[in-house]
Amino acid sequence: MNDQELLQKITAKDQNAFKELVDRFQSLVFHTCFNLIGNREHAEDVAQEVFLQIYKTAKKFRHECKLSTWIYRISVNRALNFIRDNRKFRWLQSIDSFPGDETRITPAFSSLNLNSHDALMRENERKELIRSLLDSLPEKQKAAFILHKMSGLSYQEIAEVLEVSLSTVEARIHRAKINLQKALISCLKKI
Amino acid sequence: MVMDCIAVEKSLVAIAENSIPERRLKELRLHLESCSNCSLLVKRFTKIWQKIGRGEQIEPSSSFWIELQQKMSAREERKFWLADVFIGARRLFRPAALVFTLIAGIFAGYQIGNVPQDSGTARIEGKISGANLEEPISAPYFESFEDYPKGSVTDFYLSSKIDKKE
Ligand SMILES: [Zn+2]
Repeated sequence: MNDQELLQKITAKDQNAFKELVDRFQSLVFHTCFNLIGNREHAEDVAQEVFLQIYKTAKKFRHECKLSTWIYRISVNRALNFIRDNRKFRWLQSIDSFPGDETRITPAFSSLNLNSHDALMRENERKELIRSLLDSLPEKQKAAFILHKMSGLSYQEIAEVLEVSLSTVEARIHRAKINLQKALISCLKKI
Repeated sequence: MVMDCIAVEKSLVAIAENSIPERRLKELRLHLESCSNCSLLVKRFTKIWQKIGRGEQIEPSSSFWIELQQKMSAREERKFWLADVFIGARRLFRPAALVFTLIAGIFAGYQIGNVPQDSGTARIEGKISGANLEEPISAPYFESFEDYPKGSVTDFYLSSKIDKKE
C-alpha cells in the first residue's frame, strides 16, 4: 500500500490502515519527540498525540510533500509545543515550591556532578550533559540541529519540514554548532 | 603559521566532524604536539560530540499501540458526550434567543415611537441681539452657531433669516 492509499483509508477511519501507518512511522515519530524532549514517558505521550492528529487530519494532507516530511513536521511542532507548555508549568511550580530560592536561575549544567573526568565519562552523566547542552539551545536551532545530526535529514529535507529556506536552515545549524561548542568548552574547562 | 589555543577552541566542531581543511590540519597537529591542554580538550570534546550525533538508542514501549487505541476511544467518547451537551444546549438556546429578540424588538420600537416633541432642540433667544427666531433649531447647531466662519454658506443662510425677522 503506498502513502496515498494508506491516507485515503485512514480518512475513511480504517483501523488496519492506521495501524500500518503507526508501525511504519512509530520509530521516526518517537525518536524525533524523544530527541527534542529528552524524556521517554513524555516523548511517548507526545508521539501518541502526533498519531491522533494524523488520524484526525489525514484528509487535509495535500501530497505537496512526502508523507514522512508531513509527519516530521507534526512531530517537531507537537514536541516544541510540549516543551513550551512544560517550561511555563515548571516555572510556575518552581515559584510555588521555592519562594526566593536562587538556585532556579542557575545555568543548564548545574545539576551535573562534574567534579572529575571519571564522573563525566560515566554514561548517565554524559547523557545528562548532552541533554543539558541541547536544552540550552534556542528552540529553532535545536530543532534544526537535531533533525540534521540525530535524524540524519539533509538541509533540504529540514527546510521542507520546518517550512523555511535552505539558507535559514544552514544559519540555524551553524549557530547551533557555535553555541554548543562554546557551552561544551566552558563545561569541559570546569572539570 | 602555527595555530594558537584560541584557534583550536574555535575549530573544535570542525575537528570533531573531520571537516578541517588539510592545510589547517598540519598546523593543528603541530600545535597539539606542543600543547597538552589543547590535546586533552580536543580528545574530550570529540568524544562527547560524537555521542551527540549518535543520539540515544531507545525504542518506544511495547504498549505504544494499545495506549494509543485507548486514547482514541477516550477522545471518541468525550466527543460524543460534548456533542450531546451541545445539542441539548442548542435546543434550549434557540427558543430563548427568539423570545429575547422579540422582547428587544418591541422595546426598541416603543423607545423610537416615544421621543418627546421638543427633545434635543433649543430656541435661539437673546443670543443674537434683536433676533427672535420661532423655528426650533437643534442643539448641536446652537452650540456651534457662533463658530461659523464669516462669509460661509451657513453664515449667509442664518444671517439672512435673522435679517428677515428684523
Ligand atoms: Zn593550546
